Amino acid sequence: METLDKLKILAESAKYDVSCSSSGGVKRKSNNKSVGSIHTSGICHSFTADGRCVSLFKILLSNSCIYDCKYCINKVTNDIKRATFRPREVCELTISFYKRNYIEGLFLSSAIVKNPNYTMELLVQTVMMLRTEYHFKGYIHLKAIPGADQILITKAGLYVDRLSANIELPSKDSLKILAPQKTYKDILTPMHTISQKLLESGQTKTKTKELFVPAGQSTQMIVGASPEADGHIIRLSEELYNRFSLKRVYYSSYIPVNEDNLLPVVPEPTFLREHRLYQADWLLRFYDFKASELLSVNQNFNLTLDPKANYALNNMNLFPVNIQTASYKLLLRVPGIGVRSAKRIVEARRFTNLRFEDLVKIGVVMKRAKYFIICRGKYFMDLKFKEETIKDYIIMDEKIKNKVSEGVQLSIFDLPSYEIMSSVTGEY
Amino acid sequence: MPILLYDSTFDGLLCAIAKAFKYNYEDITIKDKSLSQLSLIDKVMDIKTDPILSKKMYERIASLWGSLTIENIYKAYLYPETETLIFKYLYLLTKEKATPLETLSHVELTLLDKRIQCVSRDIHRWYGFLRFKEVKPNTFYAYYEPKFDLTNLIIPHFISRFPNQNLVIHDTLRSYAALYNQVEIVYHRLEKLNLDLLSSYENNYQEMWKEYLHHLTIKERINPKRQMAFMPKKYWPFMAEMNK
Repeated sequence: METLDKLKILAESAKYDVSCSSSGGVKRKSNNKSVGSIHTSGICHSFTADGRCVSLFKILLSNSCIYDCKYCINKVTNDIKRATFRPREVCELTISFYKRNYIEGLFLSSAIVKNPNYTMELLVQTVMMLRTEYHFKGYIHLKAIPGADQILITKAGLYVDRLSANIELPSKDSLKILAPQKTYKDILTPMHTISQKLLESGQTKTKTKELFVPAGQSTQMIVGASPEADGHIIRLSEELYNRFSLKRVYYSSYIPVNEDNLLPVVPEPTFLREHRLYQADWLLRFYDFKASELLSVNQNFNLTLDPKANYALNNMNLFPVNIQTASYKLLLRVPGIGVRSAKRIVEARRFTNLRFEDLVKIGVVMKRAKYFIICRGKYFMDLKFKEETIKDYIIMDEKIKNKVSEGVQLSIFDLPSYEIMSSVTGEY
Repeated sequence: MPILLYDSTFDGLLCAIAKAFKYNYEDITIKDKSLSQLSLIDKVMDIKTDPILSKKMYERIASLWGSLTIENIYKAYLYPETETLIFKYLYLLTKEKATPLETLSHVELTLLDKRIQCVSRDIHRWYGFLRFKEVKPNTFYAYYEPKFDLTNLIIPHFISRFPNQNLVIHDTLRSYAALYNQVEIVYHRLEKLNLDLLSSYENNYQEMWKEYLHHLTIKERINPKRQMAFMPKKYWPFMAEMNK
């Protein structure tokens, strides 16, 4: 089979592994023998028609799988074209794309060929070749094959920037039903091994500059293929971040590619739900929220309101927040104030007493934040908001936003009362 | 209100800033000589570019406030008509006791901050969207038309990534190129090149890249608006995969 044909088949098979980032690595340059460098924040080289970033050369080494996971396009009982790369083919393609600045590095995964150890050995062989024979110093993200020997996993970690093992489904039971040949033990063991080794190598500074998995580990789970609630999923993510020091959890909306009576019938993929999960994930990692503050275990996310606004409405006793004196952490809790804006507010208020115009310049989303903050002792536009009515205003704003994006004509009576006033008088 | 005119170079700007420190910042404006229209009312001063003075200013700024400040000022300089704001920033740095980064958050400098971010974003995007072709064995050529004149800012990144290759980065809008031969960087005037000479070997890789990207798309998630938001159309002419 020609390289181009293999490339088409194996790219097609790899696309559902959504992890894309080339960030988190340790800054690296090349020397007089090698090629490649690492940019710590990662670089996006292109975007697919579905709007996802292409940073790495994402490919399966083989899609000839012996497993029969119900949701997967590559399951052994599907009648699709199968292909397998030789390690050298992968290296040649990676280096050639890299030199033309198409990619930051390689993302290599594989279906299970013969058995987990055989597959993992082929993967390790490929990355070793790339590092030692081709002197490649760019980014490598490798999948840890569930069930493979921990010695192989540990060996792989010496050659790559990131290792990941996909948790696939949010509970042991769902995994048992939909992917019976994979067990939670098979998946969590490599995660544990990697996080242990990361701790060890962090504590001992070795003279040989061989860092173990400098960009840490990540994982992915499918959302919408099994019945767990969002509260359960977000708690699972929190556990994974805390226990295994994961860098990222990825959520992939279930998209039906196979038919099976164990798989749910979804009329439309659940992109909004996936979006809420990512929003909540960000709140956990950057906004100092705990999962229990956002949802209880059996609750699902409010689809009209984002998790931060939802939290604010359920905790009105914290607001309004005084922009001039509130702590950074408290500022982060205000809807419409992001990490950047919060930092800028803290820095800018050293020099002057901030006004609302200054907040707008800084980048605060006043549309959201106006209900929750006071500047120089006053509410935005000098209005006195009552707790009971704030919720109505916000929900009305959301509905207007949705109407506008659907192209519905708005009447003056769709606006909240104070906006009607300002649209009549001309003052903001 | 006095207006100081400088000669469009970064050195010239540093000399103008040196002169401007004699006035209260509320009162002066700094303008690019080649771009401005003079009025009869304002007091205009033509600043001569003195390389010794500009070097002194450069070193002074770097030692007082760090090389990051120099970097930020240079980026702001690449954005048209930002000179007076740059001076305002440096003036505030001498007055306030905060660090350079904290001072950049000052409410009077939000426009300066935004412009620096704009140039930084453009640089970062070009790190990703610039595409090379192997025109001779081990010689890689890329061309682009950046909004700001940032060739000398992006070439270090590519040299640290490909130190053992010959590189040419060609700004076809301004007709000059940065050339790297594994030893040093040289800048030279270069008109648009006709590169039909591309070997079939090179075409092969472009073909494979296009096919690869096409097969990565998940059809149920197609969203052209989102794609364009991350990858504005102005970059498309330089990316093989966006052209048929």
